[in-house]
Amino acid sequence: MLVELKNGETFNGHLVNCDNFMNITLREVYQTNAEGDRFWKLKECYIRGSTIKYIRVPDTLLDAVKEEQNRAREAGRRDRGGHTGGPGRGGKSAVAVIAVEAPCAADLYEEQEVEEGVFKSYHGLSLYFVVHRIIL
Amino acid sequence: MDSLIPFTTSGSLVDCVDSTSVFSISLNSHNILRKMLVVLRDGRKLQGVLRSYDQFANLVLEDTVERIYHQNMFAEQKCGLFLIRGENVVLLGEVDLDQEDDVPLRQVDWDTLAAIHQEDIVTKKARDEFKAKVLYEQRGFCKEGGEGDGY
Repeated sequence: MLVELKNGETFNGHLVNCDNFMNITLREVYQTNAEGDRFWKLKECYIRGSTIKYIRVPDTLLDAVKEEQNRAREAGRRDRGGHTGGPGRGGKSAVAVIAVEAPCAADLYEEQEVEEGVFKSYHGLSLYFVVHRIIL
Repeated sequence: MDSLIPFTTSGSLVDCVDSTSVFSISLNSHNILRKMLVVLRDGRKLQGVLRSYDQFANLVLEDTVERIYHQNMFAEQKCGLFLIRGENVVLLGEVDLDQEDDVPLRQVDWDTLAAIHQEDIVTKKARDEFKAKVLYEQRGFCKEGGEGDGY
């Protein structure tokens, strides 16, 4: 990738690591000054995020990221698909009403978590909704 | 509820992000990609498809093209995929694709215009410095922070 700093210097290299502040470490770096007339080769370098103007990246990176996200989602879905443990916390969750049962005894049911379901009762209406949490 | 989105600070940006898949050439009517114009603090004008943004206004621009202008001419240079740090962005705007074709400028190639553009930058910088100097000395204006205000 190519990193251009606020002062115009450019760094061409391979990304080793990065953090939330955009601080990055690069390897096999070719540094160029702002005018473009001096060059340095550095084995590795650390760039503070606050000095970065922009980063140029291979065009194919977007596709690669999308692939990885899909793969991660598939893996996550597969792991969580079986009757293992309670509902996961990751990702968005949608609540769908699966069934509305006929009026039953107006006892107050406690909230229970049963596998991926939550029982709730509306005492006054003496109806209960079975709600399944679906992880998207 | 939808009508409130344009009024929230970054809510209007949601409309400008194009997250359609790059490699699926589907034949729906929303095939047109929205081009966004970004002006950076160093004066660069980039046009590209906005793919994402965050709370710092860091932007991901795809198929970015850098344009330089001089009088009635302009030149373009393809720059690929960009991640722009938000603090360097002056403005972000949507390009009207219909009006874009009506622009009365003629396109020349990059290398011819590049040298002229560099001269333009130098003269502009000198002019701005002189202006700031006069304003500071004679009118009591304060000096601007010099770094990265090329626009």
